[in-house]
Amino acid sequence: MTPICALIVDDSSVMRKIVERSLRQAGLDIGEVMEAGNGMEALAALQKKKPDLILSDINMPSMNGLEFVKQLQNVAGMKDVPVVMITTEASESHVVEALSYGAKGYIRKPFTPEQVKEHVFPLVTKK
Amino acid sequence: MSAQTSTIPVQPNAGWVDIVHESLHEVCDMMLGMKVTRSENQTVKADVTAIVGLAGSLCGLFSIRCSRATAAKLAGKMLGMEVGENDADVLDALGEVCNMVAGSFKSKVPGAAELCMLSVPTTIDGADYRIHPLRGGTCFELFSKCDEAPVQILLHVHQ
Repeated sequence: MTPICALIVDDSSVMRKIVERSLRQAGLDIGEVMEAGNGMEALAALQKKKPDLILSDINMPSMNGLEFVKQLQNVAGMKDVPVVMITTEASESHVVEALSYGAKGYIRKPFTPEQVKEHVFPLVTKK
Repeated sequence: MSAQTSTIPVQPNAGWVDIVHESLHEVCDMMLGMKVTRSENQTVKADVTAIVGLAGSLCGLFSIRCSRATAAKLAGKMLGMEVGENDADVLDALGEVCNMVAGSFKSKVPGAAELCMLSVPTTIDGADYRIHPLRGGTCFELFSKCDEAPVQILLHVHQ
């Protein structure tokens, strides 16, 4: 199996590093990691390369995570890329909205590497 | 930041200090591997501050203040590496801690989980400032230690 390319979308560079570390601690074979500070940057990054997995925060400036997953539906070739939301905004309405736009999972901050493994592993090993 | 307009305001109560403590404990335990205890000492050297705004059924400000050394320690624990006091990650990490504690807090307060929105965090570098909450508000204050590093949490609620 080839290493996974992950796109991590969060306005906090510290949180992007923590998510990357958690993916590795979860035992995923992570190769390239693409980073974006908001939904706009993430959409721009997707023009350059298609990742195998996207992890996105919700509360971000410029374009939030819900708008990002909504717009992702219109980006050609991205329908099979699993998106997992990682956010402090874990209200039921946010979860429902994110899932309705195509997100495959939802992890609430704070989180443990075990929770990342539980939510992300099935999505990337299924491919 | 937006919030639903037809919300019933959540009424503050003294038990919220315990919920704030529980939320800080949850974040420090899961993300930083640090033990949180209540502090007897009611003063904190506040070199840096992180603030998250609350809007909706619960309106106000959630802030965490600490020394730069404590903030560097928190950042180092989060990242699993040594972080210098002047490293760019120090304020970013404190903002994320504040964001997670505020999020955890509102998820535990009935009526706030669904109908209160959080802003993105803002950080202040420096101690020479005052927060002037609106009249009629309530302020909850918590002094804690994260592995002996003192932090102060303030929750200003507008009524």
